[in-house]
Amino acid sequence: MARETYEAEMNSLREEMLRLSRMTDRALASSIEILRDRLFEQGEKLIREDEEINLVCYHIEESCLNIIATQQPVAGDLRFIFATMQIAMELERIADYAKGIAVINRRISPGDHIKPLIDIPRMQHKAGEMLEMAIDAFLKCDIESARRIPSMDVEINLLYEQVYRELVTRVMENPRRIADAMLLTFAAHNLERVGDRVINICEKVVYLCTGDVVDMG
Amino acid sequence: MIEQTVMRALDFTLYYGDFKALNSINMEIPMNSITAIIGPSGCGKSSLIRSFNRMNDLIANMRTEGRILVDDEDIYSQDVVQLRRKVGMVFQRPNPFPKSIFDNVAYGPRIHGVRDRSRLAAIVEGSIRDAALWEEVRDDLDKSALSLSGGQQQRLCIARALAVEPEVILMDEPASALDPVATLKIEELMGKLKRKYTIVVVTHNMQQAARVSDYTAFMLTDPERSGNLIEFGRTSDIFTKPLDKRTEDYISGRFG
Repeated sequence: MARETYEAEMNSLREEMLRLSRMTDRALASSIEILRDRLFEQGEKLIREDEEINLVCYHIEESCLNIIATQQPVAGDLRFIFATMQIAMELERIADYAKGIAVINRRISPGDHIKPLIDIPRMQHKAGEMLEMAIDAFLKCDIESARRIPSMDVEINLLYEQVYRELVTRVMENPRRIADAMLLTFAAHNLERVGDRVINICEKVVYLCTGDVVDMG
Repeated sequence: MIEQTVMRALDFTLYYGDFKALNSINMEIPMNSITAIIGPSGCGKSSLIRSFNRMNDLIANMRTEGRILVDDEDIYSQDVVQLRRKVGMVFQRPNPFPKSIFDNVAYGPRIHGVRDRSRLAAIVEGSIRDAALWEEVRDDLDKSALSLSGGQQQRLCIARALAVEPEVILMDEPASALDPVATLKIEELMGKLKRKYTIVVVTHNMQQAARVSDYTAFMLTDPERSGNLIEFGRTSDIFTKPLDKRTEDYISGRFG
């Protein structure tokens, strides 16, 4: 018995998730460019565009609820719907961190940063890589990959420690820019949180594939 | 996994003549719970539920292999009337006797020798109350059972089954001939009954199985058209993480 409408609804949900993850990934990459190169106009654009990401996320949640109400999904389909709703929420939060970085850029005094940004872009690069792999694992239901990805977060955490230590020493040399240093720490902290959110996504992928609720953080 | 078992099928095989309708079924029915048997048409689920209280005995050329135990006793080593007192049955279409409401429920206890008028009245009231019908019929016990609505008739049939104090109640599609409101009442009733009884229900309605049952058995025919038990487990597991791909495909509506 083919359930064509149902299959079509499930497929369009997959496509929406792919779209949301691309938007989030782009926002994250762009937020660090904005911060590194002090791109204020682009920053305002990113802040505005976050609203669009929120709408896509709401739309996904709505579609999930509709499918539950009208199609009564069970087993693997039900786990997919549940994982989709939770992963969409994680993506929306990751996009919020990106928006937060654009807001931080707005508040840091104009001109050069207190230190050249090297490790913060590295953090973003690593987090982006993790995110892309996690979404790929989700769409392919690749449990092996979902179990491997969380270990990559160690690197982000080490970079975060490094950024923090370096900023502390810079502030000692130049106490007048203490506010700017704090704001940069917040930006790094946002990226550190992205890593944690990606781990949450991996947990949902494990749930999707096995039905087991796991804690990988 | 299972707490206490009230009924057990051990390598149970059922033949109608040369045709093997059930193939070596092994299954345990947990006490004070609802077990749903699901599967596509012709998968043997009705044959199985009818085997539990020997309803298939009347079919010519029927023979069985393996055993079914109720309270650790083989169903073929006991008197069939006694067996059916322990294992009652409710059918798809409500089938009250063309008698009064009272006499319908008193029928079983009378057969089992209850003569005392006040004791009969107490059994009738208790059973009709347990079947969630008392408030609707308490003043009409002398009226014909056939004057009740379909949903009420089905609850009366459940009361009739309860009157002989069974351990197990078998229900073969008990709500498929009823409207959604009457169906809901039967489902609510099943939830209450499992505190005192063990229920085995055959249903075509997967959502109903998911809603009402604690355990689900999924059956499917093999290439020889014999019914096999594919998967048995807690309903919450079967409907969220079934182990067998065939179970998953069936419950998600991808075949059958």
